[in-house]
Formats: sequence, C-alpha cells, structure tokens
Amino acid sequence: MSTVNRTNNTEVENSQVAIILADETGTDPTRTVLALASKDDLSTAFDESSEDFTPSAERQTRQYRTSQTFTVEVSSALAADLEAMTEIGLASDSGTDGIEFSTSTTDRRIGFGEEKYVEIAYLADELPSDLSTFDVVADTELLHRFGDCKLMNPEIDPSSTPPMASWEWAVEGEKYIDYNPA
Amino acid sequence: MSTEIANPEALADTRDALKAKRQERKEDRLELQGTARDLFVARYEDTFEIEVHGNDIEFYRPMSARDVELTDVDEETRERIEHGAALLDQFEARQRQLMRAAQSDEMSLPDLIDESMGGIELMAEVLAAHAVDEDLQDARVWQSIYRNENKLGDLFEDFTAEGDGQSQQEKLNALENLTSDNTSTS
Repeated sequence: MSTVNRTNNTEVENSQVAIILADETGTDPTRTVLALASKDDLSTAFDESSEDFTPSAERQTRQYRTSQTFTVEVSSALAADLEAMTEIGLASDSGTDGIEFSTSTTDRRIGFGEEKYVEIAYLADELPSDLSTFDVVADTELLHRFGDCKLMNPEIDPSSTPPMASWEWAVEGEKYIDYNPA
Repeated sequence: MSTEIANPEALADTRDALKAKRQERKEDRLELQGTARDLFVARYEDTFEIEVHGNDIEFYRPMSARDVELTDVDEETRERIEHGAALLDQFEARQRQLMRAAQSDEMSLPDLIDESMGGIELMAEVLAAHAVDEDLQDARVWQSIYRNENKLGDLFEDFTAEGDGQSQQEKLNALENLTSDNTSTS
C-alpha cells in the first residue's frame, strides 16, 4: 500500500550519474566514485508491479507502507575504479585480471552495521576538468542515499576499457531519494 | 564528511572514456545539415489535427531521430524532437517484445495484461510529447481522458498515421457500405 502525492513533473536535466560509496568507518570519511552511468540506465522499483518510479524523471512525494523489497537497478555503467568495485563485490581481486565478480556473500553486502552507504548523484553539469574541485553535494542536482545494500545479479564485461558493469541492489536500510547531507 | 571524492584520477579516466564513446557514437550518426535539416524540422513542425469529440487536437508529426544528429537547431526544438522520437522507439520496441512473448508463451496472461497497462502509459506519454497545446503535454491528462486501452489505442493509431487514420477509416466504411449495398441489391 502506498499513497502518492505528485508534486510536479520536473525532470533531472543532465543525464550523467555518479554512483558513490560513502565510507564513514575510518577517522577520515571518504566518498569513492564506483561508476558512471546515464540516468536512463538507473531505476528504482518496489517489488510490486504497479509500484515503480524513476526519481530522475519525475519528482514525487510518496509515502510507502510496504514490506516489499526496494531495489536499485543499474542496467549499464562504466566502472570507474576496480579497486572500489571490489568493496561492493562486483569485482574480485582474486580474479586473473581483477575483473570478475566476487561470489562471497560478505563481499556483496554494504553497510549492515557499518557506517557505509551508497549515494547516487545526478550531476548538475558535465564533470569539471579539474575533478579535485568536484563537490558531491553542490554539483549535484539530485542525490539519493541507500543503506544496507545487498548486491544481486552482478555482471561485468572486461572487454571494454573501462569495464562495463550492471547490477542490482536490494536496499534493506535507509532510503533517501532527495538527500541533503548538510 | 568532506564532499570531495577520494579517487579523482580514476574518475578522470572514466570521464574521458565516456566522452570518447559519446564522440564515437556521434560520428556514427548521420548529421543533418542545410536543406535536409530544414526539411526535417519543417516536416516535424508542419502540424496536423485529429478531431476528437468535436475538438481539433493539434500534434507535431512523429519523426525518427534515432540515427541523426540535428545541428544548428534551437535546443528546445531539438530536445522535443529527440524526446518524442525516443518515446516512439520505446513504444515500438515494447510492441515487438510483447508480440514475441505472446507468440512464444513466454508470458502468462496476467503478465501480458500488466505489460499492456504499461503500454497505455507509454502511448499517453507519446501523445503528450507531440501535443502542441500545452494543456495536453502531460501524459496523465491523456490517461484521465482515456481509461480504456482500445479507445486510446484508436487515437494513437490515428496519430501514428498522422491524422490519415480517420479518413482511411471513412473510406473503408464507405467501401464496405458500397459492397453491402451491392450485395443486398443483387
């Protein structure tokens, strides 16, 4: 069951999306970009046929009361950092060239008691030439935050450089569609 | 927590690779220039009308912009054309997929019904993307006017036939009447 209050039809303007792993476990918390994708290659869905929506295409206010699984689907993304991809279980450093996915259940879980979560940043503009000036919050039009994610259906194609990957996350923790960390 | 990213070098490589891929795709597309571009845009903007319950609804013409690059066209028009064409492509791809699934028994009947509901949404989106009147540029408007898939489908067919569907149907009806008259008099 859910109630839907549509606010407007504002669509996220730019198409580029950065998928980020935020890690607050250390003394110096970090944000690492895992992959770059196009907004059309991302969707979020409740496990109910009539209950899915694309946040980047339509801003809505929704209240959900559901026991169904919330899933984030990344149908195609360019893996930016293979080392970081091992953190989410999508790449394995035990593979011959480090680009096969991990089958370890532990590797495939993010968060779950740790201060780690996923952020999906819809970039407000093209990435700047000097990336040290890129600000995840200020340069982002819409930011999601998902906690306690289980990796499902990972696929990685090493034939392209950087490798192409696709996967799904079952989100069991917090879900913020329009997240402002400030 | 810092809002900077920890791996700018890795991201820079990916950004450059993405740019190169985009450029490659762009080079593969046919660039419409000069008269070809003017004709393309003029045909899109040469709107047509469909009479719906006594109201003349004006639509932009459905175009295929899949493999073309429109240069020197104002941003708003280009985006509108590309958006409409992409939705039409999506609708056609969905129809083909459904047809295959129905023929091969891949989908159960309830799944097919669910999928066809998605088809209604997509049809409404296509109509909204091509409507000239701003009041009709919201897919939800079309879905509230047409709850019935067949009725919306009729209008959609007429739209894809660029308004000729009605006159074709009238001709067909006239022909049928003529045939039945001949049969009854003979």
